[in-house]
Amino acid sequence: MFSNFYRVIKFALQNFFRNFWLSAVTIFIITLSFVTVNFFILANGFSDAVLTTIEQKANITIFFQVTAQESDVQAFKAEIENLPEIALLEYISKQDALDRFKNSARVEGRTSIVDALDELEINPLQSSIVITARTIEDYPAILAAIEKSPYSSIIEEKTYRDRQSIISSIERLKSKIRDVGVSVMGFFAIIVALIIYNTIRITIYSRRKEFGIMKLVGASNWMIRLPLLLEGILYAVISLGITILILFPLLSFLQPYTTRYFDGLAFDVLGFFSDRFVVIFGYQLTAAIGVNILASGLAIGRYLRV
Amino acid sequence: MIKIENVSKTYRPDVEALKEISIAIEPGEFVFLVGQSGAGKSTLVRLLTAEERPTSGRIEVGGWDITRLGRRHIPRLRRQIGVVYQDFKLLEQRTLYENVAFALEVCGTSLKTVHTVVPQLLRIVGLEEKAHRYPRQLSGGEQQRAAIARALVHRPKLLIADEPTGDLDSITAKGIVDLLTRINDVGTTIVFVTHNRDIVNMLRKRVISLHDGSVRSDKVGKYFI
Repeated sequence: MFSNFYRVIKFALQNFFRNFWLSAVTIFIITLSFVTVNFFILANGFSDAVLTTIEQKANITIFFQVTAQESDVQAFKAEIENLPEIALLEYISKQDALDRFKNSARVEGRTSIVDALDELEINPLQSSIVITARTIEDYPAILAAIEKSPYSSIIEEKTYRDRQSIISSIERLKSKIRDVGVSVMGFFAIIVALIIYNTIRITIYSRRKEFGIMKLVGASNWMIRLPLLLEGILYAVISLGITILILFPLLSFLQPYTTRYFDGLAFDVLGFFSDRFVVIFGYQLTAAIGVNILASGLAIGRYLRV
Repeated sequence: MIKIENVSKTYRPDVEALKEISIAIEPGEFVFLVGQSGAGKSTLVRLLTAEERPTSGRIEVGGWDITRLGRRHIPRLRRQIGVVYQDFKLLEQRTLYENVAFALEVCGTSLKTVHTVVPQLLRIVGLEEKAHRYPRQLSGGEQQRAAIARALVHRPKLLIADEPTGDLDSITAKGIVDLLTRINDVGTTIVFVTHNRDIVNMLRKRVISLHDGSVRSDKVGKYFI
């Protein structure tokens, strides 16, 4: 049993190294396919991160009219703060708004504005409420509840709709990236399958004498087929290994540029792959082995008569 | 050892390579299978090694009805039959030792057995000293001896030699015939396929003559064309 296992591996490795250039070209093309697929996975992860960031920053800010009565504002707040869709509600009174404005103006060194406000008898700023929903899908329900409120007349302005359109656009883009990604992965899976098929076919052709002799001396069918299947798996494993060896240094190199370019967006390209290493590469390895077994199996069935 | 009963083989569309032939070969016999090119000798060899199936009739080898043999049992049959060909069929990139060992390795024989059996066989065929040479470094006769050593790795009860002296000069051919005779002396049944009259007449053995897909004669003695 152990001897057979050892020999299957030995024959697979022998063939791999005897047809070194054929093996090298096969691995090169499969590696290119892997790298491309991983960049699509990265693009998908990036669009997810963009969307999550925007979703996290999304909120509804309601500005009340300057003339609105404090009691009406409090009644409005009391009415909507119990909505189940709301995760966080912050009330900023006129005085809070004034204090915050003055503080930030002082920090920024614009003391003349602070002085001017101090000279004014009245507070020109509006009170406001900042609402954060539990999920992005909850905002429409909250907006509807605000519209229906009997106190909606004291609202001067709501800031949400603009962000909603951005979110919709990004969601559309994300779904497009995913669709293209899936198509590209499918396309490359077919290419990889064809390359493996061709490689095994050439191997069978170039070693037909050896296979003939194996049959002649009573080798079992599996002793002939298994090394070829193993060879296909070997291509997948080596290609994925090389992809990982290329990808991580490349991402380390790109990391500072991506964080600088996408200022404020917390997307760690290296972390994206290292955190999901097992899932991302495990799936790719499984898929590649599956494609290899399928392609090798087809080539063996078609060209190797045992 | 071999029972061939009413065997016919027709290749499409209508080439009749063998026509209802019946032959019986007993264990331990040395039989020459002779005939001109196209007589059906090679077809018969392919049927005996289960490379092809007869169109009709029945073939039994060593008690196995090989006409009903499932594909997965064919390797087991082939381990019981040694076959030697005119073109030796040695792997050029392997040494003689590796060529002989290869036949054991692909059948799952343990490494220990390989290391024991291969030198023994090379000694029997007189190639012990050249075990680590490649086929291209050897003469035709030596290559054929190596092929015979390989054919014997599974200790077959039947050895089929398909024109084993076809590419050899007469002196070398005689050496091969002597070797096969010695193998026959220890009980291995030999089916020696040839169209070389001199080889057949070198020994007084049973000669089965095929002509146009049929058995023309089957007797002990000389072979006349």
